[in-house]
Amino acid sequence: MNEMLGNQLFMARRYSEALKNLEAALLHSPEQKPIKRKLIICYAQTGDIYKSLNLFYDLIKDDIQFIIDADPILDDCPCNEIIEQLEEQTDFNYDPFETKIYQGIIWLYCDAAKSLSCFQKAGELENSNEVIKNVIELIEKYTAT
Amino acid sequence: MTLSGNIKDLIIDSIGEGVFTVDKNFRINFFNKGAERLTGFKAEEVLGKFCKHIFQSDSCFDNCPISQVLRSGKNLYDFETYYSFINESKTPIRLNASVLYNEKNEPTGGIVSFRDVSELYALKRNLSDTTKYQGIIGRSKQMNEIFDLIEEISDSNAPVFIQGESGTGKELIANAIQKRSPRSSKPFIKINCSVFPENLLGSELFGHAKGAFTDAINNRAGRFEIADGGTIFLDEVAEMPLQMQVQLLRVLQEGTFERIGESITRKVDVRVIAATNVNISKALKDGSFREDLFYRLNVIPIEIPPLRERPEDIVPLVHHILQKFSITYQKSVPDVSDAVLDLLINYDWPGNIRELENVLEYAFVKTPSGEVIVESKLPPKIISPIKKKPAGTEKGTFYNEERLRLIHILEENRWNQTKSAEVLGIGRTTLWRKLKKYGLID
Repeated sequence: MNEMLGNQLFMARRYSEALKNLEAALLHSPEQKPIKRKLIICYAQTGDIYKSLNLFYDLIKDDIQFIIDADPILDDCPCNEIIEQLEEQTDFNYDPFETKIYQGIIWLYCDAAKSLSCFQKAGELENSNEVIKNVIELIEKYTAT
Repeated sequence: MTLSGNIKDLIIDSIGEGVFTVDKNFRINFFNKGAERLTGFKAEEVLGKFCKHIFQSDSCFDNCPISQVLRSGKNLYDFETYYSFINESKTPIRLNASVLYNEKNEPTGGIVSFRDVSELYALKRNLSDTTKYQGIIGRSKQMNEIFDLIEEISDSNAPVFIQGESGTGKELIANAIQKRSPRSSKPFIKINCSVFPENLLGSELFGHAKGAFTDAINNRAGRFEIADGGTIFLDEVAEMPLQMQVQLLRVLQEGTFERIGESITRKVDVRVIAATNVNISKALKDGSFREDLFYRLNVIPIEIPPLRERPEDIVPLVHHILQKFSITYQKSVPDVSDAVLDLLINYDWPGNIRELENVLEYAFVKTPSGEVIVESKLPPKIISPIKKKPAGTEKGTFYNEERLRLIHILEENRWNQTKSAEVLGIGRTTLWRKLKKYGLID
């Protein structure tokens, strides 16, 4: 029940409610990439950027293409809507470092090069962050191919 | 015996309702013929697509029916929402929803059956469009004057006195006055003064103290106290006993009263709307209604004309009533025949709109769905008075008198011919011959 309800709430863009159901569904099926892909967005949209980043890293390690392939119509991916808001937004709930992570995560659903640029800026702000370094490495590798 | 998949598909395709199913991601994976017919989409156009992209309903975001079933664990019936169909903007639909489970009892999808209720909505809308004024139907000059008057007095708190025959809609007028008044959000208390015996009416209106009389086991506030700040509607006020009229006059003059059995004087601010169906001039003349009370109540007089004096209201009333019954009885009887309309317009309507409504309900029930009401479906009392007279005045007069007498007796005996023949002191065959002669049976 959790996954289906989570899917519907995600479709309705009710991220905080979707999150609870999708988290429970992921516990039940930890390998489900579609659940992870939605949860990354739910975490990012509800202010839990580090949970989002960790899950994002976990998924791109396994299958970066799965995020890049997310389609606004075929997969009902909300990346376009979020990016539209993101481009107009000047005041984020996150600090500058977190904002770059947030933008980097969301951009990967649409444009890998822009995502990479955001993560590189995040890396400049905190160059000791291992997860960021690894993420940059994975995206660089993808964009190089 | 279990049905094969093919037969199940045929069954589902044969039903008039639209049926579709979605997988756990809410992608449509089944779309029956009914859904194609109703929405205009072909199954191949929608299969694999998200239901929210196809139907674009607000409920997809706020109140998804399948999501409701997932949360409650109970199937959803007759849920009303709007779906976008291929050629129209938004179509009102009524749907049932349930969730599909696998053998592990995990939800794997949902099923929705729906029907287009735009006709029903149109009917409801039409019903409210023809509602001329605050739920009152009427396009006659007399009724329009009343509606104008209600608007003119909408800021006033002055007492209103409504006169009109039984069934003319005095209470509806009272409702409209209250709704348009500055007190519309305050209590609106209605009391029919004719239904209480004198001792009880006092208690109802003004309340009583504990022990004031045998059954007064507690202190009780009367209707005037409950209506404080608002409005009280005193229906059939002329039936009020004289003693009570004195007390009512005092409330109107001073706004004060005492509960029965109590000496504390209470003060209230209540607007009074009173109504009566009796001939008030006669009641004043014979002393059954106090003149001083009448003048206090009659600050704004409204006289509702009987239906027979405003035949132009019959057509909108008939349509309004038929539409109302269409919703109540879930069948469509769109109109009455021209001949029936003539009968309705020529009838005297002693019971006014209430009687018209009863007559139409009788005919509506007898009329098959989709057909108009014809003469034979009307109650005999409507048909009989204007059947054509035979030639010759004298003969005609007798003819009519006997005919009316027959109808009267038949109606009293619910058209039981044996009983009616007994009352008339004639044989059943003779009665049959007379009925035939006067065109009262086929």
